[in-house]
Amino acid sequence: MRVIIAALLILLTAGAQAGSQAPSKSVFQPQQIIDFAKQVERYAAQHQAHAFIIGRVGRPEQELPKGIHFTHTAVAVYSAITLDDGSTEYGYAIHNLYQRADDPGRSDIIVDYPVDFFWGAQTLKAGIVIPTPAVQERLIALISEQKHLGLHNPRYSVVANPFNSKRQNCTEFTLDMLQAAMYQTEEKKRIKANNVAYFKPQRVHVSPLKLAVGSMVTDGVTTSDHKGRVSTATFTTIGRYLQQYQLAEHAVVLYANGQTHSI
Amino acid sequence: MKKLVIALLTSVVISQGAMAADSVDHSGQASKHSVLASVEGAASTASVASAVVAAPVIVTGMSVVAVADSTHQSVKALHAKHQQNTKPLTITTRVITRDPPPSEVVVEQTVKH
Repeated sequence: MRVIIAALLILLTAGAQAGSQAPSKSVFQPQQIIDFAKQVERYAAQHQAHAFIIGRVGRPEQELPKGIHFTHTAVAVYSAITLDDGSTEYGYAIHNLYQRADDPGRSDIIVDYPVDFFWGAQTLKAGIVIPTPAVQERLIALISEQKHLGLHNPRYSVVANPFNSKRQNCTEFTLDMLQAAMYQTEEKKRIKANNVAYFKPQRVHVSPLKLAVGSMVTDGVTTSDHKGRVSTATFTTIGRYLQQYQLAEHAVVLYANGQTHSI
Repeated sequence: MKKLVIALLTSVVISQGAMAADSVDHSGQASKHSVLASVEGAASTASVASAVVAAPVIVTGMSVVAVADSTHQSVKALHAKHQQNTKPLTITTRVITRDPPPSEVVVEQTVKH
């Protein structure tokens, strides 16, 4: 009996570590990823988006909990990009909160680019929410002034509670950036108060036992910032939030075959 | 009891993927840069370059303006002008990525005596 439990716990730990670190190998050919990344950029560019919310699917979709359709969310900003050869090109730079692969309970704010962003995607589909021009303008000002960095909480949890500042995940960071931009504030208490007042998070349909065991094997999973049911911010709930308050100009899921459907 | 413990632990192992985080930086993965370097030059692939810095810009009908060079009111005015622009924003054909991790750019050389 002890041997069986020990063996399962070893498997549990190994699986958790591999799961907390997104797949390092792409499941698609490099050219497919390049083509899709450019497709996403051109789609946003055609809609003249200077800033938009972007989502990717980094896990096999059949493994996602009910109600969760994207696994990573960030803000893409149209930028002049200086390259290592000294030239300048135009495209989107993506502002992310990324969990550290070697320290799952911690995160950093990292800028990457669409090919990087979609490199580990499990499905070539992108979530795109283009806010109204007024929201875009405030978001751009926030990021260009680097004020979004002060919103970062490096204590990471994959199911972070967006209603307090105890832990933060990528989607909560994106939401906090939006709130900071819209309310033109850097005060975290005010941001969280408005999250409570106006934002509806996604309930996480994973059993408390699984979450409890998960929190035992990885620092990147905890429910210590929740009271009662576990709910977290997601790409879809952010899209719905902006739509609810007429602050989303365009919100779709874009597939590699060019098809879209509304969020 | 034994069967219950095994069933519970097994179900948790199987379901780990459901909780697994995806918010891990894919850019630092060692294979990506070498793979991109290998496809560069193919007929269908534009050149690959590493980004040094990205500065938000706003495109008006007349010009591209760096947001950092503008005051907040200027950003608002620029964006208002931009809304009169009906052309799609320009997207480079070049493949842009973040720099690889230092372990990829610093190659230890073994000196044989």
